[in-house]
Amino acid sequence: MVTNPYANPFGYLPPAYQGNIAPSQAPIYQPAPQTPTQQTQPMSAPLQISCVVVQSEQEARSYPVAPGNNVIFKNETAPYMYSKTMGNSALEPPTFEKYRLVKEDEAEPKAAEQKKEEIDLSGYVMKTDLSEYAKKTDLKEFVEQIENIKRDITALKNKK
Amino acid sequence: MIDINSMMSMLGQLKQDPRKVLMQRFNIPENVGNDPQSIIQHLMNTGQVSQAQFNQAMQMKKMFQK
Repeated sequence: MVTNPYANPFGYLPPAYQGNIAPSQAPIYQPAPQTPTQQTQPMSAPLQISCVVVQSEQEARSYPVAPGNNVIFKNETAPYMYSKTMGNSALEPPTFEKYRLVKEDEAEPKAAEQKKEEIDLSGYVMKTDLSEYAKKTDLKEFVEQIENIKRDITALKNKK
Repeated sequence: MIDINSMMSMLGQLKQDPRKVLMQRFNIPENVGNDPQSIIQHLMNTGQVSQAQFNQAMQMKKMFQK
């Protein structure tokens, strides 16, 4: 049974000493009524998320993680955070992810400001341009093929 | 009633080979590595120790190291 070691075992705080007190008037110490103990969490609690401060990435990588749990690490020497997740089976390899922390002075940009930052498309070829170009090349090839056929025909005529 | 003889024999075993006694006490098989990392991983895999308990223990260790 787990009890709080810091709790007053008598459940009663004695008043300050006020001179001689008759034994009949002396406070009687009674044991505190036993409170129900805190029940520990079951071992199979799904994904307990906790943050652990580490010195290096290697320390985070080697930190033991229980199956079905996720631990988030904060590197106190570099602006990185790590996440290590274990699958439900101990045989599954752990998933390790690394995140770089970037300080932003301003608050999150609003939606209106985001629209202003649209990409300048003047330097790109549009789909319509490509289709026109394709048409032109098709025509060139067609004309060239006709000319080749004409040449072949004239060559045949000359042989005859 | 405490059996003095069994207590004495347990203490003797603990003195002779503390690792063996602890391994038996926590049902750690022989094939588990002899390092703390492997042992704690085994204890967590078998559900004898939870992640929260381990994190708490590590926090306490860091506090004592400071």
